[in-house]
Amino acid sequence: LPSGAGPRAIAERWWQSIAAMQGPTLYIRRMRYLLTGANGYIGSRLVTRLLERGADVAVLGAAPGLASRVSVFPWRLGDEVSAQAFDPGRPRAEACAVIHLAHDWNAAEGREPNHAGTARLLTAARSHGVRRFVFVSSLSARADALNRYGRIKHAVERLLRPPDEVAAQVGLVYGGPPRGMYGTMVRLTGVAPLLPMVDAHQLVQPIHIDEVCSGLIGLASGSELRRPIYRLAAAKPITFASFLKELANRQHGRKLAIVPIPRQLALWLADLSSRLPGVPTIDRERVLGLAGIRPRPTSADLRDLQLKVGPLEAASGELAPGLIAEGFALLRYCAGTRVRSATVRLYVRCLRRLGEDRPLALSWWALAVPGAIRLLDAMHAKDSPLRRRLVIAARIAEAGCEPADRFYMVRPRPTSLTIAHLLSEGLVEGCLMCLRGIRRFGGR
Amino acid sequence: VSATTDVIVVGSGPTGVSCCWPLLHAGLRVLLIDPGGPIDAVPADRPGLADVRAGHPGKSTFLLGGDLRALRTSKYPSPKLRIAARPGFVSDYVDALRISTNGFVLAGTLAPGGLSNVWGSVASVYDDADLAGTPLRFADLRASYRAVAQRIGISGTKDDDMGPFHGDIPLQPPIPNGALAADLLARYRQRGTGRTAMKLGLSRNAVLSLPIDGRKACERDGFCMWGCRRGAIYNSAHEINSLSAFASFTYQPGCLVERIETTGDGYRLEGRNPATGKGVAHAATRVVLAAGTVASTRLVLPLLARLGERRRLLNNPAYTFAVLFPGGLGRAAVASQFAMAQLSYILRIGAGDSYTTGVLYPADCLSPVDIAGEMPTTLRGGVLLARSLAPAMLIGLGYFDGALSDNRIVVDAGMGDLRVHIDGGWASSLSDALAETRGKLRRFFLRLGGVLLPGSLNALAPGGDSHYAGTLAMGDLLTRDCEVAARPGVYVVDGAAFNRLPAKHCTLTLMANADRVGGRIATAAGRASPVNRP
Repeated sequence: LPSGAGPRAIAERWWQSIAAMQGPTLYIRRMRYLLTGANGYIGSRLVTRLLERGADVAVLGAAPGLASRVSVFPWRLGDEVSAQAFDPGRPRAEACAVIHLAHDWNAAEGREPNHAGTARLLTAARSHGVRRFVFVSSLSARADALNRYGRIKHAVERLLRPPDEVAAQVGLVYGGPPRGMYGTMVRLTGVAPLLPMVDAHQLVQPIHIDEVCSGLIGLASGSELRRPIYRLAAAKPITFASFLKELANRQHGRKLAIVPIPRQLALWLADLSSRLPGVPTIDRERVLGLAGIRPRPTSADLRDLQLKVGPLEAASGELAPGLIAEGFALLRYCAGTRVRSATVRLYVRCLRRLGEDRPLALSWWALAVPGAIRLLDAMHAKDSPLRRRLVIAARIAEAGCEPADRFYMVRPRPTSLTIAHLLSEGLVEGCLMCLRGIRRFGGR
Repeated sequence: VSATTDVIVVGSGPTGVSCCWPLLHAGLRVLLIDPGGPIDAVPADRPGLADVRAGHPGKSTFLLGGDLRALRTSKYPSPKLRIAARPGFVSDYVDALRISTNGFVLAGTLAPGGLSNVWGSVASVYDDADLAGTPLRFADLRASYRAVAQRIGISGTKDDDMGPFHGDIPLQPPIPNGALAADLLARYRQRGTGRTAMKLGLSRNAVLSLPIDGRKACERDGFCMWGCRRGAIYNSAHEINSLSAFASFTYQPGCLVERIETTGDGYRLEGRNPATGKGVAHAATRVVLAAGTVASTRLVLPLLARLGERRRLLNNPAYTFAVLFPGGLGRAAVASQFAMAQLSYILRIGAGDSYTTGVLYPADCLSPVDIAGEMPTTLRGGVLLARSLAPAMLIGLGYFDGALSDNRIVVDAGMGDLRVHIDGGWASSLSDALAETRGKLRRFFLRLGGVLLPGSLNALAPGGDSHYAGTLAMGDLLTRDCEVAARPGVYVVDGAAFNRLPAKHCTLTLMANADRVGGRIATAAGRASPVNRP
């Protein structure tokens, strides 16, 4: 043994080796992450991802559904920012990074709250010495973008002062809970086996929402930035039609045929729909948004951020086996017995519908010996991704087609036997608790 | 001002509906508005929990909900809020009202029926001691308590130690309890309370044991937490139909009121339909706000030009615990029983008259995964322990006086619309109250053969009880008849009207007070409301 290796150090090293087996965890500086637009499709996911990594998260805006550990400062694009928002208020904290996701969609182009509001936020951020300001923009941001959104995003980008104020131009985001634009696309692809679509051959660059989150966290917490703009999107573009087909396959398990319709016709219909009362309005912005997209090179940006963006097909192709293997292991652990494949299918289906479509990085030994997951379980906090996934697995095992006696006392048992069972389980849990205690003690 | 409406009632929760009845009986024309939205329907063909657990077809849909609601994580402590309420039940409300919170768990909803959709249904009467400090006495509310109790149906008994605590109102027979609760009560009657100043008895619930008005009696199918398919558990949304029997009653969903404007001869309510975003307006000489404490506060403070003022928001600090009865270990779980509050207790704590009260639920009908979530164990270990413990365990939910809460609410304007912010907290004496309660409950249950599981008694986060009150208050901004003193014709009949929140469950009292105010409005309008209403 190396010198100075007490039992505490051994235990700690041992635990670290267990932790390492679950894949690399990102080191997060002791920094406050101040988010705007935290209730949106990307924002809410980002909050969860940050909290999982033990970050200090504060939010400018409203607070629906946010964890109680998040500090909330009522705010709306254009408001003054409370000075407290930038202050981590903890002795070990270092600095603050702002991730600005909020966008006001109802703005007219002339007097425009996104530009003025961001300018105001930037001024406040600068005067409080924030370490990094990440503005979440779009791949469609261009001075001559066809739609207003792209022009506004471009105008706002010009407010930033590199190197510590940076824009993230995000591609077509998919995955996670079906909300926002992604939710609309998921719903559209599920309506009928035929989908009429404008600009179906337009090239798009998809990116999974978790990859966006990793990229944004990387931008906010990474060391030096070399570019004023980072593009977060797949390097290889695919057609919008194949994107939608893949989505239909992933989300609804069926084939989708795309019927192309000319752009002019769609614009004409949009105009018509806005004039006719009682007809759902087709948004001209949305029609033009797609048309204006041009493929951009992204691989250098992704390499800088050490961000891997998987192609959409690979994601959906490889996801299911990963989730199925995970399902077998977690369900077996929760139910204490081999589970039926129908329950595993229910698990995969439920996870997809919840937007938890990526398998956890479980090690081979956990997949092979599900009973050993108890050790991992004991080492993880209740709000860890593993534990959350385990709770889902347990509820599904309970609601699935496993025998009822796995979860409920179906018939009476002698009291002495029950007490013996309780004592033995209590003993096991007691030992695991000691182990966790050592880990916490060692980690301090 | 509308020629067809005498009174607009804002909100179809228990207080809004309770206020409508006396107004209609007096012959006034009433318009009931709420934001509207879907009412959570329970599948009528759902079998009992025992059958579903044993593997009835459709098991996963019944247990998880068609929209997987039971799998979604929730910060709300009530399992009812997780599994009986659809996704968006609370968050739509928080979004629409632009509420931010800090250290406070806020429950509220835009759904018809308001929070009665997830009411635990415990129904007690405030006595004079509970009303001390308010301008009301029990005698002021007596007739209203009776009227509400007869209307909604409350089951329980007057003939046990808790009878006087819950109050003297017309009752339906109690719903039979499970074996564990029945045994505990029998032992209590045999052995008495000993030195702890604690009483135990049947719970008093707004759950039918006899059918009323299209609602059926409880069949003890164990599915209470998922919502009752027979309508036995009170939900004020059910009453909207009954109110529609009056020709002078109109129900118009689809309006979330944004502000109240004073007009020449009354008030104009401006709002929008949360589903379409379109503007909606209603006008009348009298307006009754029953939108829920936070929502009503959000309307009244701007009307009084009191924006930016930090006001006290009361809630009942609450705690949960688990009691194990080792004698019951080895029993089979009984899923076919009434799965909500079976027993209730009162425990004197501190000096003077202060007390904590609570209810005991059977653990058999809860998911072992939920119980495991409360244990400091691994999930698998927790499930194994919960499986063996559940048939021998009661889960307790207790409340303290609202004086032990310390929350502030601010309504502010910015960018042309209103925001609400709530800072949550506890009075410093709460930890003493918790420690005292823990010790006394432990001794009490030990005497009756029960073990308060170590570490199981914990406080819920501020606001987790969903009892909110005290922001406007009779005697402060409101008159004794709950009329906004500076704006005659505007009444507030929800929790906002009470400046005190005793530990006792408040809902029935809020409903009775709404009924009382309805009668006073009728009298003020020159219409005598019949005292003995059917």
